[in-house]
Amino acid sequence: MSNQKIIELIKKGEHSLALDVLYQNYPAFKNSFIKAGGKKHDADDVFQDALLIFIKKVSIHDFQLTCSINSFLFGICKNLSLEYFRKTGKVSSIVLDIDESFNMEETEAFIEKERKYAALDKILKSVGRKCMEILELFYISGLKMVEIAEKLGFKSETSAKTQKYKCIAKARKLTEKVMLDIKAELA
Amino acid sequence: MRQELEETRYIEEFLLGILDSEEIKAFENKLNNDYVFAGKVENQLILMDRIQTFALRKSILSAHKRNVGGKNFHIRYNWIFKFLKPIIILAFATGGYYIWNNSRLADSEKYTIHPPIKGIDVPFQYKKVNSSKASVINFKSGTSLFIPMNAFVDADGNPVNEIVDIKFREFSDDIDIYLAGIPMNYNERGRRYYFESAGMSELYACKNGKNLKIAPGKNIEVVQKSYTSSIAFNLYRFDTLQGRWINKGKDLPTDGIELAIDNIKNLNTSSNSKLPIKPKKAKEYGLQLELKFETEEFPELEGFKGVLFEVDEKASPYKEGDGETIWEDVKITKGNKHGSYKVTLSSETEGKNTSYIVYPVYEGDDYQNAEKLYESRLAQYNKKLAIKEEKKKQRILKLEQERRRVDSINKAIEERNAIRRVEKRRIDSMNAIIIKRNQEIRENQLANNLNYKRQDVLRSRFTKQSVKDKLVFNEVTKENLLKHQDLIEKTWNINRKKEIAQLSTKDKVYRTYQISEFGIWNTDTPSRLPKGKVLNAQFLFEETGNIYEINLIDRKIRSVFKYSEKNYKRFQYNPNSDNAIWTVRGNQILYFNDFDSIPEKSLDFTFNLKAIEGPFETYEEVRKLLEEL
Repeated sequence: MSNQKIIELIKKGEHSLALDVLYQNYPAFKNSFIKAGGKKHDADDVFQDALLIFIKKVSIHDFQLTCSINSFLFGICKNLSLEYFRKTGKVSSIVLDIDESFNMEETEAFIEKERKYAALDKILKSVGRKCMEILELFYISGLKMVEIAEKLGFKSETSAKTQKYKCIAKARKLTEKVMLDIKAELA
Repeated sequence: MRQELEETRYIEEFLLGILDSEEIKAFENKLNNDYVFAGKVENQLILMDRIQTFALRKSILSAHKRNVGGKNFHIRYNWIFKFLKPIIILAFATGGYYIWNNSRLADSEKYTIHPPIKGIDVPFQYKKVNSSKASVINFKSGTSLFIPMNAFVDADGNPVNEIVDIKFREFSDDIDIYLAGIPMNYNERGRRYYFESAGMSELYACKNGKNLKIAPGKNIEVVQKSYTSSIAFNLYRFDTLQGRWINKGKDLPTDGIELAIDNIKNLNTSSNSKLPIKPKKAKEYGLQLELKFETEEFPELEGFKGVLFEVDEKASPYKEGDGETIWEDVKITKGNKHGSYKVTLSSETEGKNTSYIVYPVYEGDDYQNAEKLYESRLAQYNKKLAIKEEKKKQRILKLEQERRRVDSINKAIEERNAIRRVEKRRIDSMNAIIIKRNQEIRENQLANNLNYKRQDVLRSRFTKQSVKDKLVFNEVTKENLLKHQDLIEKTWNINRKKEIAQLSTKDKVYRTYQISEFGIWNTDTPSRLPKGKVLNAQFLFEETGNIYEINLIDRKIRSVFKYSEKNYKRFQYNPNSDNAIWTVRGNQILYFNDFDSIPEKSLDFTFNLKAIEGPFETYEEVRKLLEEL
């Protein structure tokens, strides 16, 4: 599959097929990661984080690919691996096939922001299972509120809607508190 | 709490891009002036991004299990995030509060016009008009453009009063809509709708290769043939910068004007509740009640002094004993007739109640004063009524004028089309005669050639006779032709009248819309996915296996529904409609049109697509192929 096709799939939100193609790079990354002193299960985590960053970066509406897809993914992998080695107290260097045209600085800044905002993910856990179910069904599965009401046993569509807005309002309040810290760090 | 939930809903509707342009303006205004509100919007936006990230993590985990090991499961992504993503990422990129301007929001939900087959598109038609004069351009399809004088300005706003090139194309049906790659999605109030088109066109004007604009205050009128006279259609313009359809109000089918006129005519401008009540003088021996009432409840009695309520003894005769009862409660309500009231008296102690129809009456000076007040109020009421009536009359006049104008346009178009059809037949008949005549001449020439030698030999003997024969032949031919021509003229006139009289209702429907900007304009009604049958569908093609995107074509409503792989599990279609599935893969058009083969009770179905091999050269070629599918 061409680089362009992968980007198109990601932009369309059809990640499944794109991820399968991107996973073809996993063995090469894992070998280099383990050779550099990393553990196998950590290679899984680092690669998954890299894919997350990759997809979010590609999804930006004016994203322009300046190198090959593989180089771009490996560039993110390298950045995250070095971070991993720093945290685990290892002084190591990972060898990956990356074009010179890969813009490391820009990607680093993006990763840094994404990492900070990841602190908000715990909010989603604290809003409760029922809330997450509603939000996932509405925003991710694309169900209508009437279907959500039926699926989750609400009396009516209106009750389900009210509950959804309560959940968002609750999560938003929690976000406000965490965001103050994040902004202070980013400033 | 209620207010907070309303605010949450409001922010969500903005972030999902379902507010209309007016609401967006109001929202942005609030965003720019209310720092606290802006913070809430930012936080809700970030929250949505984290929900998306949460889902993305699940998807990656699923891919990991598929590719590295573990169970296979699949998370479906919702369309909402397709346009949410760019907003969120922009928010992160700038990290500021005031980042959600209109164009950025539009970028996030951008649809593009993308013809599915490379090099094949609905062709434009080109005309020239003198912009210093009003012009009418008629197209073969029956569509007309009415261009007012001085209708164009250049990019800097300078008037262009010269010959201008007009570039126009129509999307007459589902085939055109599909081949032009026109997005038929419309988002409103958090829901995705699909357009059912009653007429769509694209119009531009240019001078020396430079695009022109429609002059401020001028409108170009498009009168387009349509298959429906329903008034449930709105007018939309596709904004290529925002990448979405913008609602521009209503278009006007002829029947719609009629309906509007009827509605206004039926509108009752007079209001009994506001008509002042003519005061009556109290009867000398009438049964009168003195009651206290709230003027807020009965504003028509406000300002009148000494109001007594006299029993209408014809409508409600006095009941024996009512005069002796001590009534504990009194209720006054308006009666059925103007100026009448119903008084209900009740006594809980005695367990009885009674009611009377009463009229307000006045005694002595109170009556004189009441009359004066009544006259003044009646004058005010009549003045307001006259203004309302005048407005109603003006609206009806304006609509009738519009109806006459549209009728005359439609009539002219109908007549022109009928004449064109009859004329075509006339020309065809004439051509047939000419062809036949030419053939006769050719045959004659051939016979002459074959007999050339013989004629040559006999020439000297038959010269005189030969010339005579030729002259006779020509005279006969001429006479026959004149006879034919006369017959054709008569037939033409008869047919012309018949054609006009016999035009079906369908042919007579034209939709009229006025455009103030160039681009794609569409008279549409948003509808949901077709109803009737839901399938867990799979789309396969023998060589390539899975197909990742298909288009369901509902020919009855001229709509194109795009389905991507993630929606195949809930593939909806209307079994009572005329359906087809099309998709393009490289140089092939893949299709399925055998919907009757789907078992009635089946919940799962595999659509085995067939292919038409390309490459395709022209629009006409592809159109013909799709028409035949």
